[in-house]
Amino acid sequence: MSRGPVMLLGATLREHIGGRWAVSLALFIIYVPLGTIATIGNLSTTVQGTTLGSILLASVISLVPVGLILYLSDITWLRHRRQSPVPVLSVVALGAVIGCARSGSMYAASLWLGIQEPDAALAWTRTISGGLQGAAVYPLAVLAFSLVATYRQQRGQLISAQISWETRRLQDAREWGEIREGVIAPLSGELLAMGSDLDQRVISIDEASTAVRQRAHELWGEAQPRPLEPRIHLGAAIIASLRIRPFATWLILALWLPTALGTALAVGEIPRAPLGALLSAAFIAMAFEAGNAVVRRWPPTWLIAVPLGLVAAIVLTSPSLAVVGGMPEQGRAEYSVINAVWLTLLVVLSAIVVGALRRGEEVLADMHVAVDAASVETLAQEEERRRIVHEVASALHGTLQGRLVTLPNPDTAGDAVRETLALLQSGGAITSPTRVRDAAASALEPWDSLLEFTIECSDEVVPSSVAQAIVDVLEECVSNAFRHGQARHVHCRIAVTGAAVEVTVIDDGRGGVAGEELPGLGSRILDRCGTWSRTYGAAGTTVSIVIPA
Amino acid sequence: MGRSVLLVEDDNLVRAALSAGLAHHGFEVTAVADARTAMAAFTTAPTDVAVLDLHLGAGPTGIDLAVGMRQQAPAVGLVLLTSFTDPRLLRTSLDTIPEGMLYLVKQSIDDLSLLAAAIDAAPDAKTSNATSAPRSPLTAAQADTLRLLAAGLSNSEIARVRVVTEATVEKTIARTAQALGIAHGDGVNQRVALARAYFRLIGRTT
Repeated sequence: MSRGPVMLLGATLREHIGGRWAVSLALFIIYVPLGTIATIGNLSTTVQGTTLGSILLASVISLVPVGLILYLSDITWLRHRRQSPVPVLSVVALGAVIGCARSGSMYAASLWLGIQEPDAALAWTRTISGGLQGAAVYPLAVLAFSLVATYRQQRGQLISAQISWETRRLQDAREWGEIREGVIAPLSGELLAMGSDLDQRVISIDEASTAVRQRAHELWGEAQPRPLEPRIHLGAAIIASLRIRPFATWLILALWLPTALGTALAVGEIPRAPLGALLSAAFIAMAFEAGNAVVRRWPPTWLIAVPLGLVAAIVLTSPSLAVVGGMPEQGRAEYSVINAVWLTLLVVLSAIVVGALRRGEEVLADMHVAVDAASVETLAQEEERRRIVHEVASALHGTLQGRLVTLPNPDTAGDAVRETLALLQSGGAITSPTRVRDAAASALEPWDSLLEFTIECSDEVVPSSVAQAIVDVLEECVSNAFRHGQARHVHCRIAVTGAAVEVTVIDDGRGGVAGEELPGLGSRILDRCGTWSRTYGAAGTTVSIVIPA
Repeated sequence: MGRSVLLVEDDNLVRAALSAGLAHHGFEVTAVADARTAMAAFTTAPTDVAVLDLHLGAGPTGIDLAVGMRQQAPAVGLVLLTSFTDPRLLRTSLDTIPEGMLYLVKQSIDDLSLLAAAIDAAPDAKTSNATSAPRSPLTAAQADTLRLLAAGLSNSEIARVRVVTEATVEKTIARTAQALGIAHGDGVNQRVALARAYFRLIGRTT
């Protein structure tokens, strides 16, 4: 596999497999209906007069060990895997254990309820076939459900990146000035009214201060971020995947064939049973490949081609497996239902997994259509407005508190409000976007008596958060160069490229020696600011970091 | 005339008081407030001893300045004067501290003659007493977490800054509280108590 799918798979397993009951519950949703139908099919062929109630009871009893295993694995080995990838083979093993436990306990429960006659060979066949099914469906379901969560996360990151890019553009174009006016103008009247009100009443400093603080809080409260929830539902992910790669034929066959063979061998006649299974597999391959070909040729037809392919596969496989495989008449209908559910499940899950892994970016792009340029621009403006409101609220609060406590006469509280308003209107209290050069200078100046610098950077402006990241990075690299590299000269290069700022710091120190850095602390600061790398040369160290703008 | 002393202290009142006090003890004192001015003054006229505050705002710390001064004048005596009983609370390592630099905790000085004696001894000091300086009973991770907590960060923000999980932050905070003897649930808000403990440890009693 190339790096993309591996990354996606790693992120999925790392981030989501430990998601306690999310995946477990999804499996119950799959296991309960599928297991119950399978039970009806299996048991109705063995003991006459079996009631639906006892079958359902056996089915429920068999879910207890499944829940217990999931719970135990969750509090033991999965617990320590929250921050590290879970090996796929472990997930397969867990699925197999769950499958065996369910089928085995199903058999035991049926014996106990008297709806199953003792048959050791049947017990083994069912347990093994249950294990195979679990080994196939569990990792597939885990991956499918988890990939949706990964998509949500990736899409969120994409949207955030677009918004911060757009915010930067707004700031570059000085459009933030208009937004600032938009925030302050409606406030001006209100604040002026507050100022006159304070003039007319003999008011204590405390009271004025409380009134202003309350207004600052209200302002900030109104500008609370609208939850930027990238709404990706399971259905959207399935549809996006189906549109791109409907049938992962070989994966489906690899998962379907062992269980079909198991069932055929358990209930059919030998040697007709394997023949029936193989013939059905051939039908599935034909139906699905035809479906794939149609969608590849005429993509818009996926809505018709996918259900048709699935129905064709179900219609062709169930009877051929039953008739050619020599299944008894009784139970054929139930088997057809199990087969239909099982195949549909495999198609859906494999479509998500294979489609998502092989064409992840296309799937993502497909789901990304909803966030068009216009809404990103609106979101960016909102983001910028929020930032300004936050700063206005803080400035109002801070400046007024400062003025009020130093007032000689509490009656002049109104003047303080008006003065603060004037300060806000002049923009003095609001952080404007910063020039890269100024940010670099503010970080390097305190060090210029200890180190010599050469700076190579553009005159572009960046948002204050990015400027702060530049300051943090330079401060970290320069202090490291001095403290640990005993450098005398440091060269800083800052380039604004597209949606990122690339900072390179080269020093002439003695290079890195393992164990001489502050353990972890410096790296943490760099980790927080962006993606970075450090190379140690014969003389000196080079640190490069890309800060997303 | 006594030794010449360069005093680097960013707190105006402390600088003025120390400057007058040391002059009274017969030292020839030059007092500055920040690292840049200090280095410039030292380069122009190296003194016998430098008395340096550890925390000087953004940029170099007192230890960094000491390293720079020692490079220029190997014989300079160095005294680090700080309110931080544990330098790790300022994200500072003692590994780079120059040889023979004396470490004085401000709170422990109840008589200026102690500082005067340290200044007199500094040029001849061969080893630093920094490693025997008093420490809080915290690990480096706990010290860093406590510093961020006292800066008002939430657990999730601390987790982001330290690149660990929130669960780890919670555990670290619990262990920090345990190490500092802050009991849980005795009517005291643990977070506030921890922040108070931080300020106590860095010498700013609340």
